[in-house]
Amino acid sequence: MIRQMNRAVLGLLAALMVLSVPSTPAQADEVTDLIAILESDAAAYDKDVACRRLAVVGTPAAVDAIAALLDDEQLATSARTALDGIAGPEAARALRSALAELSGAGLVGVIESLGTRGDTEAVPALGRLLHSADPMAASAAAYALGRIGGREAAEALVAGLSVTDEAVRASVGLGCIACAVDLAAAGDTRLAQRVVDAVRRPDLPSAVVGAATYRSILWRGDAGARLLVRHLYSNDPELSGMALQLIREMPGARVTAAVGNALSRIPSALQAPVIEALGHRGDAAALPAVSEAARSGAPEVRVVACRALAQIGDASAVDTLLAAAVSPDESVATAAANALAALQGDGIDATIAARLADADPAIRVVALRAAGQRRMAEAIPALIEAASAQGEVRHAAIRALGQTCGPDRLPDLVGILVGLSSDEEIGLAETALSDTASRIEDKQVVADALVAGLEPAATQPKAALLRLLRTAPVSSALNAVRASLGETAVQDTAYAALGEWPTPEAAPDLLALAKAGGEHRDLGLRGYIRLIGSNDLTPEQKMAMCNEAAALVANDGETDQLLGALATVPTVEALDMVMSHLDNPALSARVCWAAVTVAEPLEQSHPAQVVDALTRVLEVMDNPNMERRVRSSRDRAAEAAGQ
Amino acid sequence: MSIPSKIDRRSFLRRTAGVAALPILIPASSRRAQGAVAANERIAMGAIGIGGRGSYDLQWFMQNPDVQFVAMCDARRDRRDAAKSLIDNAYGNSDCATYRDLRDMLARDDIDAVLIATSDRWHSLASIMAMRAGKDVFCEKPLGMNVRETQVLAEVAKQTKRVFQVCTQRRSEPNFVYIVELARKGYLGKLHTLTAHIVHGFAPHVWLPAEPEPPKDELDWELFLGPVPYHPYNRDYVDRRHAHADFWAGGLHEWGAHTFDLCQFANDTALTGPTRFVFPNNDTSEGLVAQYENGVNLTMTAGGFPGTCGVRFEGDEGTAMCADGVMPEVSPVSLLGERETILRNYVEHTGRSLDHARDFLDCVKSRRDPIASAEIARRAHDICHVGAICMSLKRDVTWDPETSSFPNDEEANRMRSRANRAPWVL
Repeated sequence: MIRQMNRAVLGLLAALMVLSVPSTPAQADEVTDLIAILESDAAAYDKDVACRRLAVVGTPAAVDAIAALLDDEQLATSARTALDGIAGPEAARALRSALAELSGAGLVGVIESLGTRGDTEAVPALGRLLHSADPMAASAAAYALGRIGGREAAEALVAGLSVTDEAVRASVGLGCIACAVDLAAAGDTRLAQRVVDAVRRPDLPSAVVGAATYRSILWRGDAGARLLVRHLYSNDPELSGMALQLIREMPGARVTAAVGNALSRIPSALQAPVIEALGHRGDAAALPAVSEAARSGAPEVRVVACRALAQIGDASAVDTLLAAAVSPDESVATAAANALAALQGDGIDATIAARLADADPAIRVVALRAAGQRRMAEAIPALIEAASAQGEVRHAAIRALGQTCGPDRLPDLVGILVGLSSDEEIGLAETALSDTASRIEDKQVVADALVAGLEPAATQPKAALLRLLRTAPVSSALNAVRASLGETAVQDTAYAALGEWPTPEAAPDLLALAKAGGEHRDLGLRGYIRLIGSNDLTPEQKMAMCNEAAALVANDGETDQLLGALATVPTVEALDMVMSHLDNPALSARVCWAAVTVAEPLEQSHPAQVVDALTRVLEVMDNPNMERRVRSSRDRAAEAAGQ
Repeated sequence: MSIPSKIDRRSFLRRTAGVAALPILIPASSRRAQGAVAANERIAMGAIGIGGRGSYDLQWFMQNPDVQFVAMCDARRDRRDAAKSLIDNAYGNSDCATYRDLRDMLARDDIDAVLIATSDRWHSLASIMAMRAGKDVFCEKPLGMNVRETQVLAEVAKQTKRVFQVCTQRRSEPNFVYIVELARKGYLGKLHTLTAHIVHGFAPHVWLPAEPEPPKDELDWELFLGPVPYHPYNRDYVDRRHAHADFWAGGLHEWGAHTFDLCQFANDTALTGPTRFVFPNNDTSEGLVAQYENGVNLTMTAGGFPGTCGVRFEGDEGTAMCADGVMPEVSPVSLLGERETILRNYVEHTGRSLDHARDFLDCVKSRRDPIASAEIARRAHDICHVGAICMSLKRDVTWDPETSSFPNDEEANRMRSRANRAPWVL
C-alpha cells in the first residue's frame, strides 16, 4: 500500500528532481514519508529517488533508515549522498559504525563520505585503515585523512608512509601534502613543513616527492632561495620542473636575486627556461641579468630574453632591444622588435623618440617601426621628417604615420602622398591613409582631407586618392568622384570607384550607366544590384531597385546576382520575382536558396504564399540539406495558415 | 649538488621549454612544416575516452610535432579501435597501445600527459586520478557535475602541482582574446553588462529497464558508469547520454563552461565569481542573471548571437561581441583597427600561445599554469553549478565564492555535491 501510495509521488519527484525542489524548508511529514519508503519493500528505484530527496531535506531522524542501505550495491551511493547532506553527529556516527561492518567498494564509499564530512572523530579508524590489506580502502583512507586535516591526521599519515604497498604509499604521500597545505593555511607552517619533508623519500614516486619539495621550499621563504637554485640542476625532471614553478610563484626578492645571480653560471640549455620563468615572475629586479642575456649568448637564449624584457623591461631596456632588433639573426631581431612594440612603463616612448633620427639607418628604421606600432602621437613630427628621407627610412616612416595619425594630422599624410612619384611608395602611402581613415569615426573629416588633396595631385597620387574616397562615403566624396569621371587620366579609376561605392547614394549614377549601355554598362549594373543589399534601404526601396534591375539583366550571371539581392528583400513581391526564375535549370539551386531565404521571414505574415511557393520549390530541388530547410519553413507556414 | 652531464628526455623537455615554445602566432600547418622532432624530445601522451569530440582533439594535438600519443583508453571497444586507427595512421605505425581500464594506462610511467575527452561524468575523476598518477592533464569541459567535484579537482591540481588545462579553447582564440582584452584594458570603459550564450535544458533522472550487459571487452558497463550512481545497463545511457541527469551536466554547463569563463576573464574576476543569482521565473534558464560585487551583471541567454558560444561585453564607453564563425562586432568601430596591436601585446606580455592545445604543451615543458588552469576553470564552472541550483530551487540564491557556499542557505548548500559510486571516489 505504502509502495503504491508513494510511487506516484516519487514518479513526480523523479521527473522534477532537476527543476523542482521545494523552496520551503524541509517538512517533517515529507521526511517521514520518505523514511517509510526506505523501510518498505518499495522498488530499488523508488528508494533511490527517496534518498536523493533526503539529500536535500533529510534530518537526523532519517539516518538509521538511510544507513541501512550502505551495503546495498544499488543504493549505497544515493544513501551516502543523503547522509552527506545531513549535519550533526548522528550521520557521522552511522558512517563510522559502517567502517567496521563493510568491506570492498562499500567500505571505500563510507571512507570517502567521512573525509567529505571532515569527521575528526574518524581519524583513528582511518589511520588504522592506512595499513589495511585492501589497497583501495587504504588509499581512500589516505585521501580522506588529507581532507580532514589537523595534527592527528598528519601524524597518522606520516606513520602511514611506512606501508609496503607502493601505490598505497604514494596515496599516503599525497594525503600528507593535502594535510600539510591545510595546516599551513591554518598557520601551523612548522608542522606542515615537517609533514612534507617526511614525504621527500626515495621510495615514493618522484612526482609526489616533487610536489612535497615545492611546498618545503616555498614555506622556507627567503631561506629556500638557495635550495631552489640547487634543484634547478637536479637530474630528476620533477625536481627541476618544480624549481621552474617556484621561480614563477615563490614570492621574495631573494628568489629573484638568487636566480638572477645564477643565470650566467648555469648551462645554456637551462638558461632559456629560467629566463622565461623570470619574465613570467614579473620582478624588475631580474632586469640586469635578463638584459645581459638579451645582449649576448646563444640566439635561442637571446630570443627568450627579449621576450622576457617585454614583460619586465623598462626604459633602460630600449637600447638593448634596439641593438637586438638589428641582429643578423632573424629570430632575435623579430623578438626584439616585438618586445619594443609591447614594452610598458614610463619613459619608454621618449627613449624611442630620441632614436628616431639616429645616425645608424638600421637603428632608425627599427625605432620608426616601434613608434608606429606603439602609436606614438608625439613622434609624428619626427615621422614626417623621416618621410622626406630615402629608402627604407622613408618607407618605415610612411607606415608608422599610417599607424599614428589622427584626424588632425590626416592632411599631412595626404600631402606626403601627393608629393610621391614611385608606385611602390604611393602604394605604401595609400595603405597608410586607408589605415588612418579606418580609425577616424567622422568620415566627413576624412573626405575633406582627401578631396583637398585632389586638386594639386598628379595622376598616380590622384588615382590613389580617388580609390581612398570609398573609405569616406559621404556626399562630398561622391561628388568628387563624379567630377573626376570626365578627366581622361583618372577616368578608369573614377568609374571603378563609382562602381564599388558602398552607399545607396550612388544608385542613380549606377542605374544611369546601366541604362545607357556602352562600356560602363556592366560596371553600372553590377554596382547597382550590389547596393540593393544595403542595410540603409527599406524593403520598398529595395524592391523598386530590383524591378529596375530586372528590366536590365541580360544573362544568367546577372540574374544570379539579382537573386542574391532579392534574398535580402522580405516581401511577397520579391518572392514572386524569385519564383519567376524557378523554371531556369541553370539557376535552380540559387532560386531554391533565394526562395526559402525570402520566405522564412514571411511564414507568419503571409503563410499561404509561402506554402505555395515552397511546395513548388520542393518539386524541383535535389539538395537534401536545403530540402530540410525548405520543408521546415513550409511546415511552419502551413501551421500558421492552419493547414 | 653537481651539474648533471647528461639530461634525460623529460628533463630536457622541460629545461628547453623556452626554445621549443618559441613560435606563437604561426599556424599549425607551419608548425608541422618545421619538421620532425626527435622521439626522445616528444611529450608522450595518452588519450582517455575518445569519441567524436575526442577525435577532433586528438588530431588537433597531433598537429604538434613535439607530441606523440602512445596509448589510448576507452570502456568501448569500437572507440578503442577507432582511436587506435586514427593515431596509428597519423604516425604510420601500429604502436598505440589500447586499454579498457584507465588505471592500467595511468600506471605507465612513460606517459607525460593525458587528453581526457570522456563525457561529462568522468571528467573530474579521470583528471584527479591522472594528476595523482603524476600526469599533466588536458580535459574537455564541463569539468564536473557539481560544485564539490570541481573544487576537489582544483585542490588536487594545487597539491600535486601538475599542469592542468580545461578545453575552454575560446580563451586562446584570437577573436575572443581580442574582445576580452578590449574589456580588460579599459577600451570599453567601465563594464556594466556581460551577456553569455547558453543552451537550454536539463535532463531528468530515471532508471531505464535493465537489458543484458554486453561482454566487457565490447563495453565495460562498470567502467562506463564509473562514478555515476547505480543504473541498470540500458543502451540508451550509452547512446543518449545527454538525455539523462547523472550522465550530462546540463545546458548551462554545455556552453556556459566557455561563455561564463570568457565573461569572468573580461571582468577580471577569473579567481572569484558572482555573489547573487536571480531566478528568471521560467524553466529554461533564459534570462538568469548572475550579479557581481562590482556591480556588473552577467545575463544568460540562448538567443541573440550570430554564432555559437557568443559573449557580449558592454561598458560605458563601448561594446564588444564575438561568437564562433563571425568577426567580432565592436563599438566604436574604430576599435577594430586596434585588433592586431592588442593581440600582439597580449602575446608579448603574457607569453601565451593563441592556440589552446599549444599553450598546454608549452606549459607541460615550462611547468607554468596554463591559461585555463584548474582554479580558473573551477570558478567559471561554479557559475554553471550555482545557476543550475538556482533553477532547481526556483528562487534567487546568494553565493560566497570565497567559501564556495550559500550563506545561511542549507537547502542550497546540500545541493553542492553528490556522492561518487565506490570505488570511483574522489
